[in-house]
Amino acid sequence: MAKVNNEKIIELKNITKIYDQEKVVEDVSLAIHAGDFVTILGPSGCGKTTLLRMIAGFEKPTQGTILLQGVDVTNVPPYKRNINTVFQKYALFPHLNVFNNVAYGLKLKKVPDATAKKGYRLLSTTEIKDKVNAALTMVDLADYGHRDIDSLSGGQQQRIAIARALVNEPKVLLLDEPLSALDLKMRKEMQLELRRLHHELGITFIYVTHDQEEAMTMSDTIVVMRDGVIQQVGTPKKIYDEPQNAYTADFIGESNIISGKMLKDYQVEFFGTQFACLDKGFGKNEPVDVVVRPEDVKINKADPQIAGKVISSVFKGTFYDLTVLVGDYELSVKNTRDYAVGTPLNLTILPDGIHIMRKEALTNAYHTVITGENTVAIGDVDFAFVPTAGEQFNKGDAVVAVIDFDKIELTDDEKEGQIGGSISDLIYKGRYYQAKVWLDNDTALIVDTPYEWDADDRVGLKINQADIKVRHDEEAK
Amino acid sequence: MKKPSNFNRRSLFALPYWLYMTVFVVVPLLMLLFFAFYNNGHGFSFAEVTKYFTDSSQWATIGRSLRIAFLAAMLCLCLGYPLAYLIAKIKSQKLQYLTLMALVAPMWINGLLRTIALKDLTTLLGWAAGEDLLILGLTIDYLPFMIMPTYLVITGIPRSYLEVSADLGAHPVTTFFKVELPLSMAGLISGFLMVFTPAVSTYYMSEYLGDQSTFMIGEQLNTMFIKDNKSGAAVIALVLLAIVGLSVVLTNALSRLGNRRGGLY
Repeated sequence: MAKVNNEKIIELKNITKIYDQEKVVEDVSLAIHAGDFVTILGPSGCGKTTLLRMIAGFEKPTQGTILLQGVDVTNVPPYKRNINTVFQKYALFPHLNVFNNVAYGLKLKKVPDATAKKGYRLLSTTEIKDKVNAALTMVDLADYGHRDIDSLSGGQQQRIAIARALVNEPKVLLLDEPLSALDLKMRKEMQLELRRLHHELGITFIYVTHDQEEAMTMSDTIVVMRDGVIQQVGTPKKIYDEPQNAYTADFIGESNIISGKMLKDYQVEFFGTQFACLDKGFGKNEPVDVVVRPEDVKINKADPQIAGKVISSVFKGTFYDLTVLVGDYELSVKNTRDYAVGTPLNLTILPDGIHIMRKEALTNAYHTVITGENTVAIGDVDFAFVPTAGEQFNKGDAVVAVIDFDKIELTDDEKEGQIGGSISDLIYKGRYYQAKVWLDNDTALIVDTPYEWDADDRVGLKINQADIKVRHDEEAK
Repeated sequence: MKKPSNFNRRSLFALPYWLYMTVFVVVPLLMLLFFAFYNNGHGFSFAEVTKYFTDSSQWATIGRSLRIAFLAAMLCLCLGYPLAYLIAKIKSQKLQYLTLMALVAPMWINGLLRTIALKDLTTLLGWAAGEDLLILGLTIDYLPFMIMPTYLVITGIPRSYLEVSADLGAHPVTTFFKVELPLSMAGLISGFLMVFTPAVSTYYMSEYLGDQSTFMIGEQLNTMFIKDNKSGAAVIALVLLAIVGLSVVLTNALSRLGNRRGGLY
């Protein structure tokens, strides 16, 4: 284990980045400790690479500050930061051979030297040669110095890119999906290799990836991002065992996410059955999301809690991936034994296999304005609504339109809906999918839908006039 | 399995190109050789060739042409590369194309017209015809040939190279000299050749903008035709061919020292 101390090597404070009026990163605050292996994990377009590029200095945040060892470097150009980056496509200089690629940074390096006139000196040729050879040895390419870049395989190029960054002895090494261009076997090898380098050198690694397995294997700390916002920060184990919300649970590993009700502390109800759990601090009868990992569902134990029927079984090498119908919920179960389709099963879920999460929201509370007599803006479209008796609305009033998740219908043909949008992510919740739909004015609605959609699908949204409940926006006042 | 019949049928499609190459490249070259050694109908001899190469004034003309074309090409390089670099760094894509268009647009006007216009303008300004004016004219005329290939090469350098350089501690000026300039080499060389090659054999430019002291190979060629000395003209044409061929070989050898990608030659 690399040394992790409490020195904050990098601190991000309220970082926001806006491109073309779109918030790519939104109010991100994060402290990274010296010697840590931190992975920023999220799907493509979640802002993770932008965040990394701001730490490297290639982009300036629209708002917020970046501290490197307590010094504000927000406006310091990249060539003055003691941080090095390994790029996704390696970006090795084609006009230099392997040795000169690795030596590039060293030849520019100024070493403090009291005896020199300017107070610093450049490294000597022998010093550079020794350091480059040491770096090449470190990545197992000791005799490759004279080689042309084009003569190397992808994996070798990646190693050279790593050596080129590490040879400068940076305080922090940034890695932007460095393994994504390699095949699976090579990727696994390089994961171990990176882990070893981190262990040996003890410098801070900040790693960006969309591959949750890679993140789990390598990191000390994982930062889960979604739509430019940090969802959760924690050790891989903590994030797996105690995901903070349904999104994280779904993104990290396979999971069953079931809507349930917290009856009281340590007591939860789902599938119409009461289960003991380890969670407390929820309101009485508060609706919650329950996460059950497929490997935590036990089959045919002494005191069964629920019954189901196998509807599919897929062999995955070391285990069977069973889908068990419990009521109308399709529960995913991992088991070492195979069961034929149609077999009735008794299932048990132990308290430590149940993780309770607060529901992110129970209903859409859409902040908007009144556009006319009993019409309200949702996206760029005016929707009619029926005002509750006694409420008075005037044009321009700030209001909240409350629409239940299951009261919005998604249509394949965008024109069939009253308004169009695109799906950003989808979480399977047993009977239905929960989708986040971005409208074209950059606001979002959450919709429960029986159909499986793909990310970026264009859909139409249909909302019944009676299902839009409007109240005055107290916060806006 | 061999399918010779299939191959033959397909090779038929190449026939028009073979024909074209034969009529417009191979035959003219053979004719050049024939005329050069046929000595204007007096039978096969080395007379014209010997006459040309033993005449010191001919050597002076070759030297002069090489010097003028080289200076014009260097001037184009010194003006064109920074210009192409600046255009490539303009943020708005639209503005980039507009600027490029504005610089290339004069080429849509007939070359002779441009030269006469330049001559009139310089006369008006009171500049005397001569080597300086000729070099200036060549530079103005052929600048787009330098800008295009260098612009293409600069815009072709991936931004990640510049970011890596900065990441490794290089100031933007260092990055220019250590990354952008070496990676522009292919464009610089093809730009240089694209200016040098037509400049060395120019005819009307030296006719209009030069004086007696700037007598170039192109004019010499013209004189031969006026005198109806076909063999003399053929010898000069072969000499020009050799000069261009040699400069291409030489610059290509140079470019092998630098980068191999990009460029038009």
